[in-house]
Amino acid sequence: MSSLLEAGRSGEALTSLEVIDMHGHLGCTGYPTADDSAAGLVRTMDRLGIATCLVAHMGCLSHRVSKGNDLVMDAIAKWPGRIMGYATVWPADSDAVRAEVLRCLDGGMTGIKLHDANGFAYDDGAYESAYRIADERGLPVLFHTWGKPEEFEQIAAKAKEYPRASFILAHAGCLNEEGYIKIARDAENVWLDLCLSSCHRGLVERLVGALGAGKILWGSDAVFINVPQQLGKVLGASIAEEDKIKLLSTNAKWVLSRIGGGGASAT
Amino acid sequence: MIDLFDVQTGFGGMTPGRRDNPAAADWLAAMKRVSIGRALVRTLPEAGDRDWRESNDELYAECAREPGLTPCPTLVPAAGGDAPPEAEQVERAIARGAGAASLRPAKDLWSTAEWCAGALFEALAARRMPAVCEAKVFGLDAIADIAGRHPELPVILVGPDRSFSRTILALLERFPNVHLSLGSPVTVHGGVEHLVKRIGPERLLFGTGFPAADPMPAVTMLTYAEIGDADKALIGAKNLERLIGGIAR
Repeated sequence: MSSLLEAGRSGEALTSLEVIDMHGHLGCTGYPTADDSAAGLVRTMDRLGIATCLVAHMGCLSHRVSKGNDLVMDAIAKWPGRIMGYATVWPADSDAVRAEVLRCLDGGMTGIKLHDANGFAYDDGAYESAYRIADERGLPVLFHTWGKPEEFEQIAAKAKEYPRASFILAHAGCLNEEGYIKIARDAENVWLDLCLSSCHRGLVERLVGALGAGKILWGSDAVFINVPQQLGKVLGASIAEEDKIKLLSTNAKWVLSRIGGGGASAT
Repeated sequence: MIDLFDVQTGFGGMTPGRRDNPAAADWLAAMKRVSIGRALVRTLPEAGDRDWRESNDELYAECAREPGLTPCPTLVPAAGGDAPPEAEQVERAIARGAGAASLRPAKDLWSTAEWCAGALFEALAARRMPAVCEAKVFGLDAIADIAGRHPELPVILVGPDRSFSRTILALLERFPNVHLSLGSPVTVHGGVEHLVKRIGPERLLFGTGFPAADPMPAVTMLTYAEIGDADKALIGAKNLERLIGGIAR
């Protein structure tokens, strides 16, 4: 393959890289999308050469989580290894959260996605059972974040309390770049993901420059953000070729290897 | 490799509080890095730009030095007393090689209503000189009004984010003189494919959104799109070539 910049410029599939998209979705976000199906997502992945996408259903924005989780489990069964899943939960109480997380993990899911658009903070007591399970099993927990200090405080506290879970902060650098850099630098088990509709000039370079390439994951925010657009921010970044591969693949493999205790101590 | 002609970029402006305001050399380096051959350039960022005339002069000077750059100067309604009559502004811009006009009603303190800016739109339409309009500044209702009143005026809409997803297609379907830059923050899953399917490729333009955005995401949004190579070529450069070539010089 040519350089990753050249590959992106010519639209060459990245099949040999085992690209892992750590932040995808199924379902409706409120922003209209002509095709938000899992089949459409897999077709896009095929075209770009993306090996795997971890998806959460957009029901995580509201109380309608179970039906969405079912759809994600259907997609996992239909495209094993290509589609992986984050369980989404409604924080009715800790028992209900525990039951839904276990149901989803039994159904083949890999991690947990939390979104505070539902009006509940990440230190809400109902989420404790989810964090406990993530810690016991070394699961990734993906958080929607938008640069708010209270989000960083809540997640940093949980990352310290549950060190075997992998905490991923989505939309790194949307606002408050320093806040993202600090939490990822301070906590061994915290990673940042890059999905963001506006690709701020120089953001990838600044994050890699501040943190090194090992704490940053690539995510697309499909199926509402354009996957090729999100891929471009890494392919075009002025960083070393091996660092691009870390962002697109190696770091995600490491996070996933922590499941079951394989990578219990992050480096 | 697809030829790229960027409709949504610029340099020379400033954002208060930032020290990394882009100069022409920064944009030229970015163009070279991702193989963008040509660009229609405005004064950007415009947030701290207080003197559109001086900015235009600097823009023209930079473009005169670089054959790949086509100037997109700022034009204004003449009523402020700081500008010649609208038709004369357009005439001068064309004489200096402009490929479009940048319209900034919020920045330059004018109304998009016909009673204020009608003469400017009319002067541009008379020469079929494209008008670059920020979606968030104008709003789609104003764009629809302008496009409907001045059907000979090519309108180039830039900057609509996802919140426009339900309305932008309706605008494009209704007004054939409206064109859309695909530069940041335009981003919808399958969005390029959907637009091409609904309105065809002819009114879609490659744009990056530099300096606010990195250029490469817009490049890959086009190069990996599930559309034909001929459509990519139109969007990449030929549509903008056609618009600029259509100016009555």
